[in-house]
Amino acid sequence: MPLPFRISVERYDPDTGKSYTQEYEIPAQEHFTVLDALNEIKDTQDGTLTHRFSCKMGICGSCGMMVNGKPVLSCTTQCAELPMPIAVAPMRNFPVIKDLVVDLDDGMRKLRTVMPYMNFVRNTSSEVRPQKQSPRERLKIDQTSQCIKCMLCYSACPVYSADKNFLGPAASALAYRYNEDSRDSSRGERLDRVIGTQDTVWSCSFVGECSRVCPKRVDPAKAVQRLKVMGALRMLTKPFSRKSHEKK
Amino acid sequence: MKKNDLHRLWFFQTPTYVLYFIRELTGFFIALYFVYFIVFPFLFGPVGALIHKVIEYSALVAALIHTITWLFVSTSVTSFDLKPAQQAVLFFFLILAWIAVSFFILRYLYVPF
Repeated sequence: MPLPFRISVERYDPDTGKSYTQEYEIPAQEHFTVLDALNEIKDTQDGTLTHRFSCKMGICGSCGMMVNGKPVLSCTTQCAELPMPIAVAPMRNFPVIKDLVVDLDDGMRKLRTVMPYMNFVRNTSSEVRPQKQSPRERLKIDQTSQCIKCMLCYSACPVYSADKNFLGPAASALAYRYNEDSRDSSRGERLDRVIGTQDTVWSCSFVGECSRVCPKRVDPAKAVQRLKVMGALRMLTKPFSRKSHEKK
Repeated sequence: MKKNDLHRLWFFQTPTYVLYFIRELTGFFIALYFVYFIVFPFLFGPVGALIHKVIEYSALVAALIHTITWLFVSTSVTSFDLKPAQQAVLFFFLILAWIAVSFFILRYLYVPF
C-alpha cells in the first residue's frame, strides 16, 4: 500500500493575524494533483482551509500557489511526483487574504494599464476595416496570447518584490501581445504607457524566472526586453513623428 | 492582510536566481577593478603585484562572463523575429565584432603605464 500524502500548508488567519504551518495526511491516490489533495483535506478533514480554484485543468489560472517553494498551478502539479511532505504556501509578492488566497489587485490593475484590448485600424470615414490577419502575423503573437493571467510570474519576480512600480511580467507580455497585433492601431499610445513614469518596464533586470515558471510557456522575460527595445526606439523617434508635430 | 514578500536569501532558491546573482555579481569585480585602477599607484612590491594579478584576472573573468551572457541574451530580444539558428549566427558575429573592437583598442588606443 502506498504511503499517504503528507501536505504541509502555510496558513494565515486574518481575524487573529496568526500565521502557522499545519500538516495533513491523506490517503495516497496516484492521480491526485495538489489541488485534489487540498480539496480532499477541505472536504474530509478541515473545512476552514481556504484556497482558490475554478477550472481544475490549467486554463483559468486561479489556483496558483507555492508548492515546495516554486510558484505553480496546483491543478497541474501531481502529488506523486513531489517529495514528501509537500509544502504548500500562498503565492509570494502578494498580500495574503486568508490561508492560500492572495490579493491580486495590484497585478490586475497593472494589466489594465497597458490597454489590454484591440483598437482596430480604421479608414478615413472611421469605419472599421475588415480585420484580416495572415498566419504569419498571427504567429508573432501566438506565444504571448497564451497568457492566462495566473500571476505566477509576478510571484517569481524579485524585481516586482522590490519595486512595486515595475509593470511586471504578465502585463508586459500583454502589452507586447497587443502591440505586435497587426490589427491594432494604438501601438504608440500603449508604448508611451509602458515607458512612462508609473508602472514601467525599465526596472526589469532580466532574472528570467518568470519565463521558467510560466505554465503556458509565454516567455514574459523576452516580451519585457523587446518592449524595452521598442520603448527606446519610440523615445528616439517620437520627437520627429508626424503626430507630435500636429499636436504642437 | 499579511505581507508575503520573497525570502531574504531568495537568490539561492532556484538555479535561475543563482545564475542571475552570479551575472550581477560580475559587476562588483569590474567596479573593483576601476577602484583599484584609481588607487593602484600606492601599491608596490610583491604584495602589490599579487593584488594586481588577482584583481586583474578576476575582473577579466567577470567581464568575459558578463559580456558573453549579455551578447547571448541580446540576440533573442531583437525587434526581428529571429529563429534559433539565426540568433546563433548573430551571436557569432557579435562576438567577432567584440573581439575586433577589443583588438583595435588594445593595438591603437591603449597606453600601457
